[in-house]
Amino acid sequence: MLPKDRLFRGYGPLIGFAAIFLAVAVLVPSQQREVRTVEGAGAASRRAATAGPEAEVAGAEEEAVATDPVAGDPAAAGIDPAAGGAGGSTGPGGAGAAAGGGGGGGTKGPPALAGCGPAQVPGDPYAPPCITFSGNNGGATGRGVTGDTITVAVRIQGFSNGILDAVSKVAGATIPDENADVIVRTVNGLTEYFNKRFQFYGRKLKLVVYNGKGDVLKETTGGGQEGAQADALKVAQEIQAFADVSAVTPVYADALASKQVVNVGAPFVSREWLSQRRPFSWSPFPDCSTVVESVASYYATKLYGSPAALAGGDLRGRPRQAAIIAPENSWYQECVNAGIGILQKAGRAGELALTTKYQLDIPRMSSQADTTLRQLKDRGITTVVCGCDPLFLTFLTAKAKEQGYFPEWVITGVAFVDNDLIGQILQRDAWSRAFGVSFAGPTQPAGTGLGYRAYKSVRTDEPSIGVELLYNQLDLLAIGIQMAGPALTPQSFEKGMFDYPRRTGPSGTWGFGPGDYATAEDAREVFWNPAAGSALNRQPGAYQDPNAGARFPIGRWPAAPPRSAAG
Amino acid sequence: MERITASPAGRWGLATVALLAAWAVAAAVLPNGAPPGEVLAGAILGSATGLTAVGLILIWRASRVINFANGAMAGLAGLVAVHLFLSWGWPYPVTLVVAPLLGLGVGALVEFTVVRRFADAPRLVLTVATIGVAQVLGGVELLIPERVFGARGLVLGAYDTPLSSLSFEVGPALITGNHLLCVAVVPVVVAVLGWFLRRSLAGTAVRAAAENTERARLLGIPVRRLTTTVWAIAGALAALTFVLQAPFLGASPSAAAGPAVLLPALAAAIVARMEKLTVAFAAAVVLGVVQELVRWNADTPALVDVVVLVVILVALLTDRAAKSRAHDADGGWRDADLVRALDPAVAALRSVRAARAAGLVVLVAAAVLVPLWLAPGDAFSVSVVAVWAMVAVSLVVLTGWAGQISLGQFAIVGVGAIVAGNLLTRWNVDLFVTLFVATAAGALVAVLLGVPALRIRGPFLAVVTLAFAVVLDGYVLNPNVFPELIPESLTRPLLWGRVDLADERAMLWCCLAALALVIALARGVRRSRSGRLLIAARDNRKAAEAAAVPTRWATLSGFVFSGAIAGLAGGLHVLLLQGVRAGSYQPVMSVEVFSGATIGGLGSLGGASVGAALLRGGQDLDATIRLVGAGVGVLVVLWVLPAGLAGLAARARDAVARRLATRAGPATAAPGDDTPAIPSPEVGPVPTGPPAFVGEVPAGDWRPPVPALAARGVDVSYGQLQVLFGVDLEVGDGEVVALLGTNGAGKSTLLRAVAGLSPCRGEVSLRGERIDDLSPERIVRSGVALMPGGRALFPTLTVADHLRLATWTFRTDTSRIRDDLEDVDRLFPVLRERRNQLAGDLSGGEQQQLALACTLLLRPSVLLIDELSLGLSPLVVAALCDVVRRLNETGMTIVVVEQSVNVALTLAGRAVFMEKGQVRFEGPTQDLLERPDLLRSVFLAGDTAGNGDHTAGNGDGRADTADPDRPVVPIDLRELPPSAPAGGDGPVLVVEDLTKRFGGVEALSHVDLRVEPGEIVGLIGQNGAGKTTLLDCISGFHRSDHGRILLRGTDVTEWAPFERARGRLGRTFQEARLFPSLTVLETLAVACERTVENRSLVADATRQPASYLAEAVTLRRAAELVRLLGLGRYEHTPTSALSTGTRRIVELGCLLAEDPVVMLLDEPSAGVAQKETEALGPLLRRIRDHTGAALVVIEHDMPLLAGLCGRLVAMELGQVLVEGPPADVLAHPAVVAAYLGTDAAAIHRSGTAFST
Repeated sequence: MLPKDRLFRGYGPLIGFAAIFLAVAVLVPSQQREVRTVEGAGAASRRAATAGPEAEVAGAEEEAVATDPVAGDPAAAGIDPAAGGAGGSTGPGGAGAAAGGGGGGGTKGPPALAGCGPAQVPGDPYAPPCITFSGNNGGATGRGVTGDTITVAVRIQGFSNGILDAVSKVAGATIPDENADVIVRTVNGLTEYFNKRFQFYGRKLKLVVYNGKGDVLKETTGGGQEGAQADALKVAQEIQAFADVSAVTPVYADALASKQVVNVGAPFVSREWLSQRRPFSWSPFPDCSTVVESVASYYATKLYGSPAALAGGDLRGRPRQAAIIAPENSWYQECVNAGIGILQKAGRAGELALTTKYQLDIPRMSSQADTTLRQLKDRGITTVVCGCDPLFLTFLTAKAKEQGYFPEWVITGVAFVDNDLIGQILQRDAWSRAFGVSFAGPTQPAGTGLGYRAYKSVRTDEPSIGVELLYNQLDLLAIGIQMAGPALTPQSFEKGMFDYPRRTGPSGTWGFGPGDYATAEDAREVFWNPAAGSALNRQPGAYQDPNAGARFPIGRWPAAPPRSAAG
Repeated sequence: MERITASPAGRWGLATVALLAAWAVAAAVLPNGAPPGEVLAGAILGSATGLTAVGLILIWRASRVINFANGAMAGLAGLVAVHLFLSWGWPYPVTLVVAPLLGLGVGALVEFTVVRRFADAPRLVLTVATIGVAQVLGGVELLIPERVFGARGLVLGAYDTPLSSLSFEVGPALITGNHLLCVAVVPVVVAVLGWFLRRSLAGTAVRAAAENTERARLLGIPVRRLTTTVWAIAGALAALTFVLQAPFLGASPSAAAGPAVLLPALAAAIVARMEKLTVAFAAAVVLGVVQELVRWNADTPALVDVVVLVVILVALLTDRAAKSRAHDADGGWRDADLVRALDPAVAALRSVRAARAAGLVVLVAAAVLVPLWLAPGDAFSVSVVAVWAMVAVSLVVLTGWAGQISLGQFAIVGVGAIVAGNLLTRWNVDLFVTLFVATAAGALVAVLLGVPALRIRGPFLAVVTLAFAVVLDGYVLNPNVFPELIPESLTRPLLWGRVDLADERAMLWCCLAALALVIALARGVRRSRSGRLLIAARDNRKAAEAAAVPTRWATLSGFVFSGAIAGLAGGLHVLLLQGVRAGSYQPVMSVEVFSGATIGGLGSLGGASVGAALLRGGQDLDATIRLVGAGVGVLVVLWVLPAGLAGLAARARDAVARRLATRAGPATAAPGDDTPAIPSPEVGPVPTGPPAFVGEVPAGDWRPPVPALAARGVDVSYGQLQVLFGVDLEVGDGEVVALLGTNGAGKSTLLRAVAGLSPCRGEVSLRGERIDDLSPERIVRSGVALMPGGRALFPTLTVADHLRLATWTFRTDTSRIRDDLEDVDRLFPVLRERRNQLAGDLSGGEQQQLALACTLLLRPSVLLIDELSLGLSPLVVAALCDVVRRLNETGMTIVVVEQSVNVALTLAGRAVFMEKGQVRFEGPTQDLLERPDLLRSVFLAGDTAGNGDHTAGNGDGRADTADPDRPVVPIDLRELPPSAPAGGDGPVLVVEDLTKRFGGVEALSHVDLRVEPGEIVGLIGQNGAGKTTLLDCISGFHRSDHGRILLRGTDVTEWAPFERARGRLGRTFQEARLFPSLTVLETLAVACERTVENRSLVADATRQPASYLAEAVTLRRAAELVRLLGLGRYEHTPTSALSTGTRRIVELGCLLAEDPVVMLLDEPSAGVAQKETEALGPLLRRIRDHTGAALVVIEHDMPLLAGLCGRLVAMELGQVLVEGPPADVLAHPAVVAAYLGTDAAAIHRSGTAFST
């Protein structure tokens, strides 16, 4: 047999297949859809948003948002909520017209909105301006929205097996045995509250609680993306939800955003991260960009240029040398870099002697803390700014005590570190030199929070221990829906949130705007007092406020020196 | 320098100097230097890691498993001890003692409750079981602080102890008494353990049990108890590590720790090749320092993982090959269970074919239709499951077939995903081209990881891949390190401009199609040459190379294929996730998919993919499964189904197929029923009553004496295969009974059953006391000792170690030990000279003597000897026969399995002859000679009978001469295709001045040998004379130190074994292991390697004509050989299920398939029944006549050699003693004195000359 015959006889089908394969690849190649970059409002976006069939719709709507006032928007409709009583009314171009067909629902007739006071819920410091509504709400204005309902998804394990649970266990908090039913009951109760008290323009929140495939604990370390994607698909395409209020992990929030579902909950991600997922991702926690701006200005204002008066041992009174420690995650590092930039811009980065990272890997945290602490000692660090999670801080403070090293610890208010329960598990001697920034409000005794009160206003039984977290998640959504007006879309939601007037309450000041998708607009100063009793659990150890509860806008700290329990 | 490196102290000194120099360089070069405080801190951390490494090695050596539960064992016991101090205020020193004690308990408990249950399971299964154990213990650990001690929080930071006040500073590090305690205690513990393993009797027993469990049990060593002890020690070590570190490192729950946390310890263990504790400890200390310096100097924490990976790779790449043949053994690693294919005869039934076709149709229909009903989220999840199934298929190739473990398969998936993601997002490359490139990328990574791991046999790929998985997750997919590399977001493309993959259903179809393609390709590989070679290389590297198989390349091609599948899976996975992000490919995913595939059954494509799919899908279905899926659930599933789901499915399949086969009629063999069948009715049961040789006794008056040993109605099955059928055997007190029979009759199995190694039904009693329910150890203590044939030693233990071990049952009786060892020295003087030599380096005869010596040290009252003369020179056989006779004279009862009736005649007055699992004759040995119906060649007789009377097969083209109840089919080599001419005029083989040294010993000394075409040369010589070493040098398995080898005029001295085999040099081996997992047909097909026309994996996978046409030729040739050699009954039987003699026949077939010009035969009659041996000589001559090949034959059967060879070469002490015509050589006084001796039976092991 000739070599040629042999070749074709031996590999004929393969050659044929390869030829077809190549021909197909050349003649009918698979096509990528148009790749567009969605610029965040006011923030640079480097994430290429894609334009699938859904994205095309969204893009079109986005264009509309950019050019036209959102129908139903109280401000756009000429309503002055602050005026109280009857305000103007929407014109013919209002909600119903803008929203187009889709199901009708609500009352008949043209939509009419009017202001009715400064607060939708009297006594609720975060309540949006009061609005009354009548007429047609436009029906199905978007996915998950009908004339009567707004579908909201809740992945139950986001709360039952989620961060709250993990942190509680780590913190050693005594929590009652709660099963998912308690959480479902609490969420339903809160939903009932918001449906009753907020203006949803003839619609009701329709909660769909589902048991997801995702693993929340895996997602907190960046894994579990398969499950998160599957859950996001379920929310977007099966439940057809407008929003999800259980996006307590960045992985799940990211998946929901990619499916264009409004989501609430991503904790401590960066402003860029949220902007890249606009208008979908929102957070009741401060974004880490805000955190670093606040902490950087705190350092620049109150600490820079003065000796480390609150440090202990040999370090006390030495010229300040500061170190920043943060997890290796990309968004945390973005924030760290931003913080350093702020200090440099202010000409106050001179004391920054060390910036170091650690991996969010629980088994290796102790050895990482070991090395980190020696680095701190070696560089003569007097002041540690640790944007760390509670576990790493546990190891680090204990290691500091073991090594007889007592620097100042600047509290950054991330990852619940400014919660009394967490403070109580940190090494007492070391953490008694902790002071800094907290975005949370003063610790409130159990049963006095807004969430608890809201729940009890509609139900008589006891809610979940996590009622405040659940309330904040839902509150954010409810604010956005009310502020969006009758024509509810993710874009009108964003616009509504931007129009939400800043409100201050026990959790600080909330406000949103272009590039700002998280709540915190101000912070307060705290220090750790190991001897003080906590209002949370009556155990020794609590954060105290040297300024009697005063909150300060981001970047505007009074120059008075900080205090610490260790003196 | 050579003098320095010769001694351990010199080597350690040199290493210390090198490390100091490295420190100096590091201090000068690194940006933040290498301050002493950091080095010290690293050394302290490293020493603790070293203790973990030691624990891992201990478990490896005891159970051949990587213990992923090590951290959890530490956590459970250590945490309790820490809380006793912190919460309950116990004195610190007390808790330091309590921790290892608790660890002992935890370790023992784990062994007793879990490990022991998996004693007979493949090691892969036990490996996965340890992951489950880790989950269970981790869960318990979580409860301890609060439930037991009322403590808050699970995480403990560093804390003060009474030793904390003792402190001094070294640079930034404050060294406290806690650090010093760690530094002080750990080396002592390691030294004590090192001593324990190397010097103590129990430690030696542990090493022995790890190498050869059965033999250890036969020496009375309580293997189970020892294994429990080792696990207990490992638990104590783990707890000690925990409690020593806790004061300065704190503690975190082990439940959160994946297998990656063991990586530094595993790296250290690898440096020590899972053997030397001190080396592992030193490596861990150095690694600890390196890690600390990297952390100190680098900005990226994950760089530490990169360093660990580099250390592992360098350790593997710089590791030298084993220095002696003692380390050639695989150490008892058991791979995935075999799931045997359906018997072809059954598979060919119309009903079975119809059922298969229907099944396929249902599957395809389901794949097409089910997605239509699925919701998008569910469709997505099923797509993910399909991708996981693809990864499981890649694991079947890598682990199930190539025998290598990957704990980082998802990292290769990640590489494929990164490549595909970048191609799609950056360059908008066509999807299929993208998937192709991703596939290639996966293959490339697999090769890069596989090459270093392939250098040494062991679990090293598992560690390399695990390290790679950690690096990919923490470093490569780190946006701070490679921000541009990570395609975080992509859109699914439109396929052919119209199929929108954004639709989850379309994506699912795409994934299912890819899965189907992958399974089809893998099936293509398994069913053709590539798959065969992969398994052959795994099962028996030497035999494969001798068959011209380039084993490294074969295994590497398996890596390539496996990596390619994983890469393709990555290409699809990135489409599913629509991007790759940090955390997309966490190491735990690799462990989960491995667990799933193991649950499914790594020997089966379907089983593994279903297992992985179920594990992944189960996690999606239910939160409880998600929590326990990789832990408790896995443990429970494996407990119930140790062979995995595939085993269960195979059992169900066989049951159904058996029913179908029964319905189809007797022509069809039942599946699994391919070893000795139920005997034909005419054989009938063995008559009861007095044996024939006691003479006429009235039946009513006869009262049999209580026999020393009695077996009644013994049935033995191996799995579904019944081997013994109601065997009865009685041996009187002080009697010697020869157990004879055809090959595969069940003689060895009967002895194993008596010794307690093979579970049996029926009754076995010793002097009237039942012993069939006793363990082998207790049977030994009751006075029954078995000297097994074949693997009777522990290759890496010295002769002295063996003799010490044999005294285990009376280890406290020093005077008896002294006396017995003196007896051994008298009986076996050669063993005294070899006292410090490794058993694996002894010659065959010396090994046999050592085995017998060990057995005799047990002072049995009943001695069972399996193959006394196997592989021994006449002089040694004579000596051993003499020993047996003398033992018998002392009153010892002896049962000896012997192939040679001639030898048996001189030993035993009574013989028992077995055939097909039943006793066919019992009476005076001499009478057996009058029974040609029994004493006949089953396989080869036709050849001795001449060439006539060629009976056809059984009608279906398959001869069935293995069945003694059927007509014998003679072997007619004329039916074989003519051999290729040898070419050339001169000698086909020339060995010039060949010298080979092992250590300082010259095994071969300036040997010259010339072999002419067609010549048959016999090699004789005392055991240890260098005969096998000469063959090993000629065939390339040993590199000669001097001299050269010419094959057909070409210098092949530097050629690899497979290259020499391709140059037509054939080789058989003493032990005839063949390829245990391959069937006879496949084994013969492997032997056709030299002449196969297609060697392309791609062609095999895609079933190209080049593959199936070549395959048809190969299989036709193999089938022809099966028919000619009368192996039809065994055609589809794995060779592991064959008796030694049957394997010899297969081995001969392999030689015929290889068609060499020179055949090197190493004891071809070893383990072959005498009548087969008598038929062997003429057959070999005819093979020579037919092929024209020259034969070099090592043999101890003189009649066989004398009748076969034209020339004999006698060797002594590595040199040629004398050569010439057989008669002259055998009459040479030096040969008689050094080799033959004067025992006629030992010399005339076969033939009728002696007996007549």
